Amino acid sequence: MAKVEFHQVHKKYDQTAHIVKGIDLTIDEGEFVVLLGPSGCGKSTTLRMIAGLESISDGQITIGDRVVNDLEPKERDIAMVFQSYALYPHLSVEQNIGFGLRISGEDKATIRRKVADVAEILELTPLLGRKPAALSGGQRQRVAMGRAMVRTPSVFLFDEPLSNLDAKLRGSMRSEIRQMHERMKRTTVYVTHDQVEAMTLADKVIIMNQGHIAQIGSPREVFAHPNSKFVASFIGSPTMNFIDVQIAIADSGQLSVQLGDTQVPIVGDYRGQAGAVSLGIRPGDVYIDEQSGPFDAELLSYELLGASALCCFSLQGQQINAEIDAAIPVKVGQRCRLAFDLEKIHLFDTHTEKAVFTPQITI
Amino acid sequence: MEQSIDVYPEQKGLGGMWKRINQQGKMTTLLLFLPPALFLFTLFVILPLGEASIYSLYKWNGIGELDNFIGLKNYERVAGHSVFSSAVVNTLKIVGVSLFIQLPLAMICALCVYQKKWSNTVFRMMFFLPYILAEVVAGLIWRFIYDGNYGLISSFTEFFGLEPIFVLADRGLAFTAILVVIVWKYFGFHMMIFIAALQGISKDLIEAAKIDGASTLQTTLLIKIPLVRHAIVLSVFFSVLGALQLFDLIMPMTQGGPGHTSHSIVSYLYTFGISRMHIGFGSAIGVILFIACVIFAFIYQNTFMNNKAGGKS
Amino acid sequence: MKSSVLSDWKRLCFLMAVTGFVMLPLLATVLGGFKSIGELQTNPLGLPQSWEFQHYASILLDKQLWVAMKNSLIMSLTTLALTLLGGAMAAFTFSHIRFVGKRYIYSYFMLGMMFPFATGILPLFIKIKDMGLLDSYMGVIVPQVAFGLAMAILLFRSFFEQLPAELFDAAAVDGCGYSRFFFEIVLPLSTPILATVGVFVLVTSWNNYLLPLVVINNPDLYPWTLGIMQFQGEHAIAWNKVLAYVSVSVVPSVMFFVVAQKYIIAGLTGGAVKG
Repeated sequence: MAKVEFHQVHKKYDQTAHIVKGIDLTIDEGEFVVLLGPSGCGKSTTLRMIAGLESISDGQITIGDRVVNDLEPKERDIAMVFQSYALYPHLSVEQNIGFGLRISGEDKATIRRKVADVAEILELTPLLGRKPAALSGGQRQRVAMGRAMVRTPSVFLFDEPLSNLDAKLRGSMRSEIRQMHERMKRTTVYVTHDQVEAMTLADKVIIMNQGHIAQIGSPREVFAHPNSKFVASFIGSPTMNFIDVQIAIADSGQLSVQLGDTQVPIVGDYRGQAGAVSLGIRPGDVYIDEQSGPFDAELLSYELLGASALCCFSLQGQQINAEIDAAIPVKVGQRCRLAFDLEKIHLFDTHTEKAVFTPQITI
Repeated sequence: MEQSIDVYPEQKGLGGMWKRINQQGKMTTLLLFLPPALFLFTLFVILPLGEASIYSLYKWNGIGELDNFIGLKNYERVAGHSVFSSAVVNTLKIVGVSLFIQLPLAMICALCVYQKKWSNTVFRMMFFLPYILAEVVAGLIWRFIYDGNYGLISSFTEFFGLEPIFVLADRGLAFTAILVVIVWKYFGFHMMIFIAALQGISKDLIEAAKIDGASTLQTTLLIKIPLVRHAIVLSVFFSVLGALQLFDLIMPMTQGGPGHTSHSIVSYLYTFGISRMHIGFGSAIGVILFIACVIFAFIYQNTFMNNKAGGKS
Repeated sequence: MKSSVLSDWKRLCFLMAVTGFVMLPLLATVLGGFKSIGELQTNPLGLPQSWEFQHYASILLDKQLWVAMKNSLIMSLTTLALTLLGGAMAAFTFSHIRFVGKRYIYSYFMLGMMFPFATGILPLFIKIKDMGLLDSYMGVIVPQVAFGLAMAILLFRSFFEQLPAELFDAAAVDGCGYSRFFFEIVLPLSTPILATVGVFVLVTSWNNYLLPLVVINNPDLYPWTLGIMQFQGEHAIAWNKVLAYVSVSVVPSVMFFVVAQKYIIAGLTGGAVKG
């Protein structure tokens, strides 16, 4: 019923600022899609174009089977939850939730019933008479969600809805949003810059960068197989390491990574040429292995995180982080042998920054 | 997907254009909300100014045809009129007194009472009280005070056994007496502007100055007053524009007398233009006043207020 | 805590002196209304030896006073309502709608702040006469509204622009167009600025003298400012009566000031900070 499609959608302001540069995208019915990216990447603008709060400079957006380019927000059958909640300060919780229904001319009894139902689900019933100023952050958030839910739209839009909450509340609100999606099964587009939210909520993550879509995939996919250096560095915490290495291809076809004098053979599908590439490896995939570790490195700093520790090493003049078991005794200044999990390395072309290697996974 | 463009006919044609422009009733709202104000403002504020410049070229009593074109004669007559010159001098005196007596007084009072305390609030409200009284009331009150037979002044003269002085009937004193009333009536307004600005100064700055070893006087002169510069700039602006349009106070006190020595520009306009129905002559005065205001406002805003004038978007 | 220029007792002396300057004339006026002419001559300032209430009584029983007060009230309340509505609606188009020439139209309004009422008073008089509005409430009200618009628009606009933008977005998603947004969301949220602008408009209009002086000749339509001048003209020597009249006529202003001083000060603060 409500599939959202983008066809070469552009957003320009005053001819000078090109915010969204030709997006093609299909969001399936009932899917929970997260638009993820750094600030200024165009994700909020994209969302607002779906909502009808921003005009579409070029291209076309369809919701269901209607082109919505020239439809007003109210005609698009959408509801939206805003970053600041945007509750009307002078109206009570009940009036806030029922405002849209009142505007669309529903009769009072219906509004009352629908608002009561939603309030029940969100546990807002005792708060219906209050003004937004008398609510806590989490309660305001729920009212904002209630306002969206009461209209039973075919598409839900969320614009960084959790960024004003503290870390603890954010976790519980995440699961409430997820539950609401399970219950209502509506197409949902959710904008955030927080990758944890993206990972936990999304059926599909769309990573945006500078007005383009960098990658689309399930959370697992974008984490395990980033298709560019940008995605690789944006997803995952602590951030992926990048080191400059050489790729050598032997006559036999055997690939190997060269770093200084050290040469490590790797197995997989390589789509580049011999020469310089950027090697990416997540800190969790770097180990200290005094027996067989191929790389000699010096420990520069040690940060205890709890069960693990983040160690920064100097590896032939390049810095590399490793997340190691906190129980391993190491000292700053000490030299260690490092090993990489070769099934989890990524290689990126130094110019295009595209991923050029798929490791072969041995089971 | 191409066919979906076709199933959406509103996108085309004039109707579609209008719908696109009028998203959420934007244009309808604009067309309903802006014109009433624009119309009233144009009709009663801007248009009279334009008409004043036309009338000022005629000799006209407001009745009958506007046909006696006399060119710039009205302006020559205004410029050559000694009463007008004295009205201009009086206006300059108001400006002088405002800038050099009223604003310093307002600033000292503001510095004394700007801190949020119960007793300060009482002083503030008392000092502000004259500002909210109507000018005619203020004028009448002071006319009584200055009355040689009844008022406060008479108490003094009697106490010292002097002849009664009729201040407002004295050519030399009448306008000075008006200046006192101007200070009395308006200093509280400027004080409030200064108080608002002083309260906006971050406490850290004052404390930093103290730690740097500045005395109270130094803190005041070197930190507080420079930091409320914008308020002073605004006060000076209001003072000058207020001086240029002073009228209501003059009428109950002297009506411009004695011997037309205490006119402001507007009371001069009223006496010689409106009450005698010399529309052309009066309009010429209005135009001169307008030009004076615009020149002042323009130069002043460009010199002192250029980065914050008139609420830019 | 001693951050004033003067030390504490000097400061207090100074404040008392200013208080004397400000309050003595007012005090003399109120007390003067209780004195006989003879006593006024010998004792203008002190408490009356014998309190004469008949001056105040005759003023309060004077029908003219109440008629004048009623006239003033009608004119200033109508001015208030029209200025707030017209000014807020125009300001809303400036704060929330993008349209061609917006900057110029806004500057055009701001021009109105720059020059005095008096400059165009003669053509204004001719215009009011031509429209047949001489000797009518409307002849005073409409020009007052026109002259109040500039300040109202300035203050409203900066307030409206500070309303969170997401509120408008939320209303749009809820299906609320510009007009409804204005009446259902913006106006209810703008009570502080409505009050501030309203207080200024009301006080200016209540105290207006020049415009009614030019427009109104019929004593039955006189606002109190004209009424008081007429009364003074009739009882020039009877200062005790005039002072009683003045004291009575000041009561509404003072009461209003006490009630609304919060908004008056807010308006000055807004004006001072925003320029």
